[in-house]
Amino acid sequence: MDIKKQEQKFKDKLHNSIDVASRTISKNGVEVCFVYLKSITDNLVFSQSIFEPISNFEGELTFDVVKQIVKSNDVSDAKEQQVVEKILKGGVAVFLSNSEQYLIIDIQKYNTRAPSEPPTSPVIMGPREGFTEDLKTNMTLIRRHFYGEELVFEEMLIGEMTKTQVVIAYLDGVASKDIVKEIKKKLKKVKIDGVVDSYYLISLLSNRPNSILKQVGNSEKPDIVASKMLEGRIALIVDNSPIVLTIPFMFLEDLQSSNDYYTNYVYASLLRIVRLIGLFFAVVGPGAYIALQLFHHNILPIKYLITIADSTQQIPFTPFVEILFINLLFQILYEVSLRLPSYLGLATSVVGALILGDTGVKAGLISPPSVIVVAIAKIALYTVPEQASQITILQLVFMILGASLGILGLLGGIIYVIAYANSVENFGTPYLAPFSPFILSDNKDALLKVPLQDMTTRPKSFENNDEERINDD
Amino acid sequence: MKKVWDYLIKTPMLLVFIAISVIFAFPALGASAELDRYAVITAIGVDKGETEGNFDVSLLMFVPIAEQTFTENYKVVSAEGRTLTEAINLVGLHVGRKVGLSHVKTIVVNEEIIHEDIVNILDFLGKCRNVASSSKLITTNATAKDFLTSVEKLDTDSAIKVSELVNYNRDYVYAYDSTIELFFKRMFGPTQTALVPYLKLGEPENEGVAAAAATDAATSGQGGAEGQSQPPPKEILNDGDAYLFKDGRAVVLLDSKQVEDINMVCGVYKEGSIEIENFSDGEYNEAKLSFEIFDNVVRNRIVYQNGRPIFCIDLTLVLNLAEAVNKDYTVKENVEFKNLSDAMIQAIEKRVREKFANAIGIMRENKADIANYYTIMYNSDRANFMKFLESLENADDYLNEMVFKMSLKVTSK
Amino acid sequence: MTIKDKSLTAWQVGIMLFIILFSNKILVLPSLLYEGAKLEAYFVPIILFVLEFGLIYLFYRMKRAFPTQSFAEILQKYFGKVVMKVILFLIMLFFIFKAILLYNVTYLFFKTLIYQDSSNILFLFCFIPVITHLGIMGLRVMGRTMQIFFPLIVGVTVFCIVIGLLGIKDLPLLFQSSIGDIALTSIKHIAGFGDSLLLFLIIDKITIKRGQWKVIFSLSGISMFLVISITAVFLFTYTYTSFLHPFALFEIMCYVKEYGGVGRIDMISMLLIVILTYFQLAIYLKMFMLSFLEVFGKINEIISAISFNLFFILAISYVVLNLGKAILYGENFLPYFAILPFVVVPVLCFIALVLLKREKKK
Repeated sequence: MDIKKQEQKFKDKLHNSIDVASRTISKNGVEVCFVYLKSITDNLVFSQSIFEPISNFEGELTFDVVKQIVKSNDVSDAKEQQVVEKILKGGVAVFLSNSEQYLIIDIQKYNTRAPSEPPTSPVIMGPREGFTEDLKTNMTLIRRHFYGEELVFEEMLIGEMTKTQVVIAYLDGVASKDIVKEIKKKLKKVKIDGVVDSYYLISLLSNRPNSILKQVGNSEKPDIVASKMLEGRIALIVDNSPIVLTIPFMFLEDLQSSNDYYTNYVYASLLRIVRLIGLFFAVVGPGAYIALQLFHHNILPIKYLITIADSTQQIPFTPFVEILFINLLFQILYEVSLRLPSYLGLATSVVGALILGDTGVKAGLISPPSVIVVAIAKIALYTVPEQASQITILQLVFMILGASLGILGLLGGIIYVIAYANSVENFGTPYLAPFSPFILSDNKDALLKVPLQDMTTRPKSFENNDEERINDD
Repeated sequence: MKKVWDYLIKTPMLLVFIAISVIFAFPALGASAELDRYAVITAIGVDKGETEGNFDVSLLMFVPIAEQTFTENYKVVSAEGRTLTEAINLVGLHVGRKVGLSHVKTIVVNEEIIHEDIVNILDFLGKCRNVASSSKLITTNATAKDFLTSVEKLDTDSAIKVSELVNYNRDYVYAYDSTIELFFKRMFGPTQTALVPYLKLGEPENEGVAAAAATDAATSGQGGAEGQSQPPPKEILNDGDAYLFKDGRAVVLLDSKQVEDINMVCGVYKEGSIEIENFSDGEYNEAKLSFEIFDNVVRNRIVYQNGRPIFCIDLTLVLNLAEAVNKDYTVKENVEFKNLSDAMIQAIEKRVREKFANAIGIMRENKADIANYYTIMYNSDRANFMKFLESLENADDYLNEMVFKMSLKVTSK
Repeated sequence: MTIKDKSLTAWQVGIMLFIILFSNKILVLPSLLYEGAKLEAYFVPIILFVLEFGLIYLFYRMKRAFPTQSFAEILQKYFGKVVMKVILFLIMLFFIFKAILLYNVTYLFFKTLIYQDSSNILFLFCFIPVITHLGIMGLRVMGRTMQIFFPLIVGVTVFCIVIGLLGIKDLPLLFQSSIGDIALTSIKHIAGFGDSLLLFLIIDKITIKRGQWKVIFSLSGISMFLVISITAVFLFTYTYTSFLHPFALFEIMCYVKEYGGVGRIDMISMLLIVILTYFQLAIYLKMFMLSFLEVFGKINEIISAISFNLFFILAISYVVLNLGKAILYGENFLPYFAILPFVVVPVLCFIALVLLKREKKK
């Protein structure tokens, strides 16, 4: 092999980037070339485990000898067309002038975040680890929950340019092979230039990509993903993303929280009911308030009527415009609070509270009941934070329905949304299972939760291979 | 553009939603609240109009104020019309809003009208789907307008509402409710009788109050000039009187004592007291005793003798001596208020029988079966009762032909 | 197989039947029944539900005899294509007329109570898109959606009846009407019944496992019991003034509202009526679509939905604008249509069963 030519060939393929490193040494008449990327490899390991043993070797260097003397356990052969890909994944390519083979030693190293509690899923009691952007770390976090033989990791590369590693994780004998096959089929069909985050895959895996309904589950916590895998779901771990996807997905999953499993079951049931009520109020509350004001003042008992009538006198806006205005203010505050640096956050809170809560009401621009209704709806939205985007859209839709058609429109909207949700099935799993179709055994961990010892079967809402959690054999 | 159109065709509900937004939501942006278009009415008053055959309708209207004072502000507006509908529409014109009757809780009718036209008034209000059939019906000695003016002040200034006053009557004074619904129910029923509360208006408490009230008194819809001082609102006096209606017409005004007597016989009204005067025994000397009623259980038995029903009322009273006003005031030691002596029981029995006789007397005199004995007898022994009615010259006179007996048991709490 | 093509389970059929048996019976009907049969008017739904139960039993026999065939196929096999098309055309009209009656009553209810200033167009915009969507999405989606609302419907209905019982105070004059009055009233108001006919249209779209028939019978029995209870509670609450109160389920809550001192408790019954109306109209539309497709050939089901909507809107515009004619239509015209579910279809089914038995003997 012409070492110089091959070295240049690989460097050209890597566009002679500034982080491309190459070194050629000559030892007993044999030239050995190392090509790697400085930015994603461990330089110390390279020096001590690869370069030193080879440069200090006194005998005749052959490919097999080199393979033996490098101090690394992640050593593999590669074909010429695979070399660049391996270098890009943090490997060192070693090739000799007296051999046509290529050796790849994986010494990938880059700075990653340590697993920490994810901001979107805090718990009062229970594990606080969260996934990070590193695929290996995430795989480790899942592996630590399964010391049995059933855990399977299968890898795929998605994205023409990014070639992102996507790992399909499932429990053999529990997860449905048909679903695994279907996932792989869908992933293979994906034609995209790059996958920057796991969210990119969601619409690609959904049956109805244009639907606002969430069709693929996600989580930032290994304990949640592990428990979902124990139920028979399949996890998708995407490199560079701390969010692991789970398939199949049902709406019920977002009503549950990991806190529910680390606390008393009666309390957990109560919390789930509160979440559902909060969700309902968040979606329908502002719309119902507008409908009552525009169409149905005679429904309100006289005491409420008096309070609302007195509060809304002299307000320059019509009820619909007022609610839209307050809603917009809240949304602006929310967006600002997400993007502002934390040291400005306090100022935003003060401005928001003063403007909305106090000055606006005193100035007679907005009425207190409207502020209360919208504020409660916005807060209630976060009882189910995973559905926040869907609920926000539905909130606006129901405001329009309430203003246009009154209570009939709101109820029609509710029926339509539920019917629409019922028509969504992903990977053979009804979206609203186990409520509809009603599956009695799955309702043990649906709206109400039973003690753990009574949950002896896996969910029947989706396909899995083993219905019993504990087998007596 | 084509892709957008194809997408819309594939999701027709999106097209529908856009259509709803365009047709309804855009106009809704400019639509004011219904409260700005409707006048919220909480009470209706009906008087005879100045012109013969006309009605003068007064409406107690809630007026919102742009302050968080947690007070309720009311105003009386009235208008005269040939029919009630016309009058109500005129009121709407005067206030510049549609009249919303869905919060009406009280209907006040002047005494003059109840002898003739109350059925027509109630028929209109009953057909008006917005007016709840559970609205309280009351009559008054003064004009309904004056009554509502007094109510306006009461409702605005205090936490006591006239509807609560009437509710209290229902629970603690009258044997029967007085609502449009019950009025019609009894009118279409076999007895065709009803009791309607009678609330009087008295003179104002003092001139100072009257003067202050004059500034926010009623504005008449018929050319009441601005700045003209109105008569001060009068005090509402609730003595527990009631008008007895027979076949939709007012027959006689019963005072509170008579109403009490009827309540006892019906057994519906469980509270109240029995007073005995000039009671003397070992402990008391010409004393006035007041016994609190804790329970009043009435059981009816009907026995037919020679085709004539004998209506036996078994009355059980659970009493407690609440107060004793002795002629010679002395503080008694070891007075056991809980025990009723034999003499007391005898006196109570005598008093109860008097009340019973009064009640039956009222019913017989006016041929008004307030206690609904007709239904009780019909359901207990239909064949015999129909035979009895057929044997009478005038079937309406059955009360006079029946025999009433009462057995009384008095126990102490 | 898409979700649309999948069959209904016994529970879903039972729930559908439960909901449709409420149709046209809990608002205006009790008040109308009083006029003829006085306080014994609750016997009318008892009698007519006995007939209805017979229809459900007949369906049970037909399903067992013809497990996979559709009603159209059965009719065509034994009576010919013409008879099949005529019968299904009449069934199509039966369901759309029931839908018009139901919509009319609901419109009057809401218009008088809470939508005083709104026009008919608003109501049409509320109902038509949702029921069309439900109809087009298929029976399975419809069944599942009803399954979600089912506990709410049952709970609220039972609650309304229990609360209504609190409003019964004095016992009125009992048994004032005769058997003849009751019978005549039953015949006059028979048009409100016969909705179980829908079972025949979906006979091939149901999968009922062994032992699940009792679910259908139980749910229909419970529904009938609740309707009879609502009628009885209404009559005993309002007694002699029942004819003055056209909206039974709402009125019994209204009555207690004041005496119980509980706020706007009648709103609960209003919400129940809305939800029931949406589902009932959706079922009527779906049945219309199914029979339309059989009569006019298997054209696009969207066309069948559009046909329903066009006919519905035209008829509603005519009926709503002419209330006098609407009342005449309900009392004089619709009762004749009741011959279809109670006479024609049972006779045809009976003949088909007899002929099948003979075929099997051969």
